[in-house]
Parts: sequence; structure tokens; C-alpha cells
Amino acid sequence: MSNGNGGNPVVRWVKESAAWRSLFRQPYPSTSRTRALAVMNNVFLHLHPVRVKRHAVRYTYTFCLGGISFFLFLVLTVTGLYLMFFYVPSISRAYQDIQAIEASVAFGSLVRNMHRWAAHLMVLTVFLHMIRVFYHGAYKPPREFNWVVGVLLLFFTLALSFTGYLLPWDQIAFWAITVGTQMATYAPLLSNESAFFMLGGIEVGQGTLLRFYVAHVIFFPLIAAIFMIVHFWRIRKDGGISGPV
Amino acid sequence: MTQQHASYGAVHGPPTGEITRRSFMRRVLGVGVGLLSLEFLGGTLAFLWPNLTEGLGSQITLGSADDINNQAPEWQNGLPFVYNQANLFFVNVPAAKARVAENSGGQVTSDVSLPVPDPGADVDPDIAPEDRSVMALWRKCPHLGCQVPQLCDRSEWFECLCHGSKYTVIGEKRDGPAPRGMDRFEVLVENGVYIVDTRQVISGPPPTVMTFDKRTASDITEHCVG
Repeated sequence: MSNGNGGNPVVRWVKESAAWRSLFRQPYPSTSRTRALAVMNNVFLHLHPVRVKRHAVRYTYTFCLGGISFFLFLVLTVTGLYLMFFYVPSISRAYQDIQAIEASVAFGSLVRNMHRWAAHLMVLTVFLHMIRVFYHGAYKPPREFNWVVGVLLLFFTLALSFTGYLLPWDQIAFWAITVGTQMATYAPLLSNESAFFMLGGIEVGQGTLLRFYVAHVIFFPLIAAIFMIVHFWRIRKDGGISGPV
Repeated sequence: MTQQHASYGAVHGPPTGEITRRSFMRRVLGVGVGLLSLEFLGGTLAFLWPNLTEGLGSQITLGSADDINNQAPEWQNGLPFVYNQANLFFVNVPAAKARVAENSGGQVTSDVSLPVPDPGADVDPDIAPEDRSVMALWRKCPHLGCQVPQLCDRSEWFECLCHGSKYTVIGEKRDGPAPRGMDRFEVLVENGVYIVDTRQVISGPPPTVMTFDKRTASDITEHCVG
């Protein structure tokens, strides 16, 4: 250890212990080399490039739209987890549960509205992020693979938005999903079958609510998280963020 | 053998023209994992495929004509019976036709006189739908799935509130964006009791079908929608 030991024997004892050294495997990141090591030795940070280009950190280049989208995804994960403690996906309880979250759960109205607004905003920021990438031509090789991953992430975002829309089980939820799934019946292949499978029945009902709930709280978030890992890692593998147009 | 790779320079590619033990095992593994994945996907789809035993999607017993008249006294005067549990209109066809004729100002004719307390049991699938004694029309609009409201008392048509699709009392399409007439279900009669089989949806007739109530939207002065 090159720094921070001082003369204090307690500090020295802590910093030389096996526990400390297994958590902090490289010296304090104060040089180019140790800063690079800090990124590469961390499972979360190593997805990202060790160095970024000067233009990449300029706010007006990216407007941080991808970062904001990811931040909103984290907000939605945490607030969604909180809401799960007070919500039962049953047609006899769902609507009352939402009312109870709004009215009688401490900070329930705040958590629900954070979830709701973050969801609306995430669709918006993902869309704007896509436009930003498009106008920078950042979909061109070698980034064409990551563009496709991003398009899939857009679909997962919309799927999360759609499945979450039904859960309050109010009139707008019921009819929006009725109309939305009816659109599937206009598809050229497997039209009625796909609507039947999505609805878990012939019309929106208990089967639909449970199906949409499971898809909303585990299936799509898990798939989206896996694709996000690939998405972030590909930025590094494709030579960092694209250059100015 | 050695090949030139764009990024990595000289690399050893797979051996060409011969199957080694290694490449054979690799292919077997690939095919095996592929087959298992397909089986898993098929099993998952089968597991999640809806299996309906009650409500819409099963056989629903409505009761006899008397039972329906007791619940909905206007049924014998031609107003379709709204059966909410399965989201359908149960139409007393002769009474409904007489009702439309009576309220259409002479534009539609029918030789039946009201009331018709028991329309009978002519529900054989071989009989043309408009000649059957009762019909079970699904209230889900074939356009985008909105719930079709009860018969409009001005036009004697079903008029969907969402986008203005309009249907006659026996579910033939007359106006609006819907691609076909109202979807329906087969009706069975056992000992005078009507049973609606909602396991299979029967698509409504094409918009060109006009067997009864041949008025167009402009023939009617007042609508409920649009």
C-alpha cells in the first residue's frame, strides 16, 4: 500500500488484513495504471471502457439519454419491488390494492407515482436515445450489432410498459389491453392463436392479469437486464462511443 | 489449417474436408442442445397454453325461454338478452325481427307479431343463421374489441361506441370500420334449455351479407353513435 497507512497502527492493521485486501485488490486509483486496474478488476465497471474520449463526456453530445434510461430502469426496479409487497394480481383485489397503496400505505402514493412517471419517462428517453444514435450515424459498422441489441431493448421497454398498463385493473387498463391484444388478431400468421396465448383466454380476465403480472415483474425485466449488459459491454468492444459527426 | 483473419492475423481454422473426433463430438453436442432447447420451448408453450373450464371458453347454460323471460321481460318483445358472465347477446330472432319491423317506420317487414315468449329450438348448424330461433352474439366488436352496447332504440342496430361500427339485430355489419359482422357462438338445446358453446368462436359474416334489415346508415334518420 503506497498511501493512507500513516502511522496509525489500527489503520495499518485494517489495511493489511486479508478482508481489506480481498475487497480492494489494487492500490488507491491515483495513477493511470491504478485507475485502469480499478475499472478492470470490478465486475460492474469492467463492462465499461477504461478510458473515454474527450467528446464523449460532453453533455450535449449524448444528453446522457442512455444513462438516464438505465437510471430510470433502476428506479423502476426498486419502486416496482416495493409495490409488489402491496399488490396481488387478482381481479377481485388488484384495483382495491392500488387504491390502498395510494391511500393507506406510508409513502405509497409517492412510490406508485415514481413508478408510473419513471415508466412514462423511460419510454421517452429510450426513444430520444434512439434518435440521438440515429442522427450521429452510430448504427454504422462496427456498431451495427449494438444497434440491433438497442432495437430489441426498445421492444422490451414497450413490452414492460404494455404489461404494466393492465395491472391497475381500472377501466382504461382493461380496454387498452382489450384493444391492444385485438390488434394481434390482424397479424397475417397465428393471429388468433397469439391473442389467445397473450390473453390466457378469450377475453381479458384473471388469466390475462396473472400472465401480464409475471411477464411484467420477472420475464421482461430479466431479459432486458441481460440485453443491457450486452449493450453496455458492446460499447467498449466497439471502441467506445462514436465520434462526432 | 491456417487462415488469415481480418483482426487477429493468422489463426487456426476448423479442419476442412475431414471429420475429426473433436468436430464430430462438437456437432453432436450442438444438435443435442438444439433439440433440447426446442423441446423445452415446445413444453413451455404447451404448459402456458390456456385451458379454459369456466366462463367464456366453456359450455354455458343459460336456462329455458321462461327463465330468460323472467330475468329480462323485454326478451319476448325482441330486446336481446344481455348475458354478462359470457359477454354475449342472446337474441330471440323472430321477436327481434318483429321489433325491428315495428320500429323501422315500414322500411323493414316481418310477419311475426309480438310477443314471442318461446322462439323454439331451431338451432341446428345446418339452418342458415338468420332462420334460427335464437342466436348468441359475442359483444366484443370485431373491429378492435370494444364492448358493443345494447341495441340502439333509435336505429334498432347495435352501434359500437368506440369507432362507430354498426350491426343489425342479428349481427350483420351495416356501417363503420369493422371487417365483418359480429362474431357468434353455437347454441345447443337440451330439454328446452339453451346452452351456448363458447369454446369455439364463429366469425361473423362478411360485410356484404344482407339477409334481414337491408337499411343503410343513411336510411336511418337518427343513430345513437356518429
